[in-house]
This record gives sequence, C-alpha cells and structure tokens, in this order.
Amino acid sequence: MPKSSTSADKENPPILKTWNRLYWLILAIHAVIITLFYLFTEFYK
Amino acid sequence: MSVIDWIIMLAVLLGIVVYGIFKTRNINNVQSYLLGDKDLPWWTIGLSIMATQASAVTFLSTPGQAYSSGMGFAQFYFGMPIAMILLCIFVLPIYYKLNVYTAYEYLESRFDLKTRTLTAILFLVQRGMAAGITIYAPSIVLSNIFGWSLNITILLMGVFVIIYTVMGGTKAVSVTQKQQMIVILIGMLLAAIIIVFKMPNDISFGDAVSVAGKMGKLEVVNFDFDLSNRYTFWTGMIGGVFLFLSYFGTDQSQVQRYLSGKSLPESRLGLLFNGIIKVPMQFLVLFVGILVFVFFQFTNPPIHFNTANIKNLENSPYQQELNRLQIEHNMVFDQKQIAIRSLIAATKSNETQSIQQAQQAVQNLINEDKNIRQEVKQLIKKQNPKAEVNDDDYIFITAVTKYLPVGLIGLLLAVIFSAAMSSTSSELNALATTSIIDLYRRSFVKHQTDKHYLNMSKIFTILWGAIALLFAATASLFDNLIEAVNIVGSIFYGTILGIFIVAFFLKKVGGNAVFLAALVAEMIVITIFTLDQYEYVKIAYLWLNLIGCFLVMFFGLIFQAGNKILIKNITTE
Repeated sequence: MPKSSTSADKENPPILKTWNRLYWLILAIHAVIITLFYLFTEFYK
Repeated sequence: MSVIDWIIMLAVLLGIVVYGIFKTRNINNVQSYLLGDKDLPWWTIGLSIMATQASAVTFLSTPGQAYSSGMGFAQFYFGMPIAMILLCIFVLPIYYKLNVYTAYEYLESRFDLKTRTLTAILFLVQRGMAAGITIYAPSIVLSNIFGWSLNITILLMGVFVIIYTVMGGTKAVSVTQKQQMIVILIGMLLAAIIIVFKMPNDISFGDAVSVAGKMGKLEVVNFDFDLSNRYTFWTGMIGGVFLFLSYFGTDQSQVQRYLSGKSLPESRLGLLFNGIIKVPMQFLVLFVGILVFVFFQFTNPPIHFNTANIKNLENSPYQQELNRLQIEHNMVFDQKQIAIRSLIAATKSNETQSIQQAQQAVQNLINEDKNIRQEVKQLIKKQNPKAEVNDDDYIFITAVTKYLPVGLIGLLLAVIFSAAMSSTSSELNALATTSIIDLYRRSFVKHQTDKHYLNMSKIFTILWGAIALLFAATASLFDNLIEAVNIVGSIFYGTILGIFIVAFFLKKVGGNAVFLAALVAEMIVITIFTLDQYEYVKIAYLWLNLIGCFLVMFFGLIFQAGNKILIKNITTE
C-alpha cells in the first residue's frame, strides 16, 4: 500500500493504528467472505 | 391493500420526511445546504452511500433475479471493497485537501475551467435522465400490481422526496437515508423470516435450502474465466473495480455523500463500511429471492407474475388458450410436489443414484413449467406486441402482496418507496449542487450573496425534481426507455471516467490536451454507436464505457506529447 502524504491523513483510524493495517483487515474480511461463499456453493452443489 | 397496510406505509414514509425536515430546520447558508455542515459520522455516511446506490428497482429486481438465475449476481459486487480502498488512498485526500463541493471542481484546479464545465454538463445530462427512471421504474411495477394510476404513483414517489430535499439539502438527504436504510434492512429480514414460516410443516429450513441447491440456484462463486458469462468471480473482481471506481469516485450523487463527512477519517470509514457490508447485504437480498423460489415450489405461483398482462389476456380472444395453459401449469405443479418430496427424501438417504434420479425428475418438471410460461409470454406478445413480457421484477412484489400478512405488506411497500426516495434525493441534490457550483456560480452569476446562492440551490432542486417527474410521467411513451437511458449513460460515462483517470494518474497531461482528447473520444464513441445502429459494426453498448475511457487517456497522452514537440520547435526557432 502506498504511503499517505497529506496532513489530514495523519489522523489515525479508531482501530489498528494505521490506515494501511485497516485496509489489509478489510481485504482479509473480504477474502473470508468470498471463501465462505465458495464453501456454501460447494456444499449445496 | 388493507387500511392497516396503508397506515403503516404512510406512517413510515411521513415519519422519515418529517424527521428529515426537523433535523435540518436550521440550515440557512449555502455551505450547510450543499455540504451539510460537514458533521456526519462514518456510519451515517456509509448508510447514505448504500442507500444512494440501492434504488427501488434493486429490491424489486434482485430477488426476482435470484428466483430466475440463482445467486451468481452477488459476484457483481466483489470488486467493491478494493475500489473503496483505492478511493480512500488516492481520491478522498485530494477532494479534502482542495475542500471542494463537487468532484468537477477538482478538474479546474487540475486542468482548467473548460474541462470542468464539459464534465459537469456530461454528468447533468446523464444523471438528469437517470433520476426520472429511478422514479418511473418502480412506479410502473407498483401501478401494474395494485391497479393504481401510474401518474399518481409517480407523484407519490416524487413529491415527498422533492419536499424534504428542497427544504433540508444534503443533510436532509443523509439523515433520511439512514432511517430509510434501517427500514429497508428490517423489512427484508422480516420478509425472509415470514417466508420461511410459510413453508409446509413437513419442510424444514434446511430442506428448503437443499432443494434450491439441487436446482442449481445456490452457486454464488464461479471461477470459470468465461468472457461471455456476465457474472463470474473475474468479472466482479476486474470489471467491478473499474465500474465502482468510476461510480463512487466521479459521480456527484455519491461524491456528495462522503464529502459531507465530519473529517477525512470519517469519510474513509464510511466508504470502507459500505465496501464490507455491501456484499453480504446483496447476498441477503438474493437469498430472499431464493426463499421465494422455494416457497413457490410448494405454493402454486401465478402462471405469469405481471397481473396487468394476465388481465389483458383474459379480456382477449386468447382467453381459452390461457385457460388451457393454466390447467397444464396446475398439473405440473401437482407432479412437482411429489417429485420435490422424493428429492428431499433421497437427499436425506444420501444415495447418489436416487438423488440424481429425483433431481432429474424435478428439473424436467421445472423445464416443462418454463415452457408453459414461455407460451403465455408469446400469447401476451400476440395480444399486444408492445407488452413487456419479462416478469422477473414482479416476482418478489407478488410474493409480498399475496402471501405475507397484513402489516408486513405496508412495511415492505415502505421499503420500496424508501429505496426510491433515497436514490432520487441523492440525485436531485447532486444535480442541483453541480448546476449551482460548476455552472451558475462559476460562469454566470459570480458575485452574489450567500442568501442568493442558497435560494438558487433550492430553485435548482425544484427544477431538477420537476424535470425528473416530467421525464418519469412521459417515460411510457418511449419504447424500451430504460435501455435507452443506459445507452446514453454509456456514451458519456467512459469519457467522464477517462478525464478523471488522466487527472489522477497521468500527471504530465495538461488541460488543453485532455479537453481535446475528451472531445475526440466523445466523437469517436458517438460514431461507433451510430455505426452499430446502422449495423456496420456490432458492439454491445456497455463496451462504450471502456472505449471512451481508454480513448481519453490515449489521445490525452498523444496531444500532450504533440504539444511539447510544438513548443520545443517554437523555442528552438
């Protein structure tokens, strides 16, 4: 993830301390959701 | 519809309107009116973004789509979280740094006035037409189902929303959308629960889902790389990212939602919240459609879901043929009852061969019923060649109005009206903001008082509301209007996205080059579209988005390079 540069960017998110960490968390949750959808698809095939 | 349903529906809708007006009663300057005092927390922004995107057609069509084609449509949204993250990193900081009212304002600081004005006008043309369709599309479904007058339904949808959007501006849009989204989610959840309870006593929830799975309706993820398949993992992850980047990054109706946030972090959290909630929410809406599918395996569904079409057939010389098809449809339904119960028993026994046999028997009956429905559609076309025979949009509303208990019908109608109102209010608000900021105040009336611009913002909101209502009221005069609007959108959308991509990522390209590139790209797109109309080339209109976008980038780079060479030659001479 690229580093943010503006002063407003320096305000941290309420969790995980940095925005990059939060973005990775969102991507991880998204990956889990897609995996669950895949398992759902396979289970009912 | 019962009196109780009317009371519930009107109470919910009026309650939201009054709440919106009450919360925004102190708005007295143009910044508050257009940017809502910039005091919204992330959850309001997130819900507002979701409500803007989810129109009434979403809640009418999506369950119907799951009923007909299964749950694969969920993949359409797979690119959303990635697009939200890219916007948080690259786009939001720039908009916040420049403290803009509209996305197009940024284009003036990056390029020049003419590029900003061109892009704003392209947006107004496209979104102005779409606002009419946002009202028209659900109105035609509701008026057909309930026998209401189309114009009164359109008025009912439009007038409420114009009143609170005019009175409270952006803040009214956002605070009402929060309530509307809550009503929508509660309504859909209750509908799902009640449909499960309406299944026959000998069919458990697990049996119901298993039947849908055996019928191939529960394929959410498809990893096949098939370019002709509209919904796969790859179309969602690749095409979806571009689509959502352009929609959320350059369409003022969305940009305005997150620009009214309390701070950059709040706006970012709002976008991320939308990115992560949207996919499961869409899964839920599709799953409601699956439950309706299973429900109609045990309750005989109408032979055609658009009752207005059936009524016309009943009063025509084709009535006898319709009766014959109805008898066949009932017989197939009775046979299907036995076949489905055999399938459930086979599934429980876990014997592969008997499962396959039972599955095939059910599938054959479903195909037989499909053929009967197709014959009905052909009859409808014979009786009225202009009739719309696709009845997918009528499936969910039929299940709601015919089989759900009194009270819940009113709540679910409030859901549909809320969804229509939430999208329309964002559109009117964005159209008024772009008209006042990018055209009126910037190029026509430059030095007036704040009060003057506030009043003009309200007048522009009324004007765009009136245009949307007029467009919705006359929409039925045109053939296939929704497709026409999508085509017009595709002609302009690619160029708008191309201008923004050049602005964000091709820093060497200047104002003159991108303006010229946009004009050339737009001309080429219109030429391709015209050639397609006369069948000299064959290209689906959705591709025009991609072509327009790449042409702006390509010509932008070429013209900029040409410009540099020209300047170099002049300097050398």
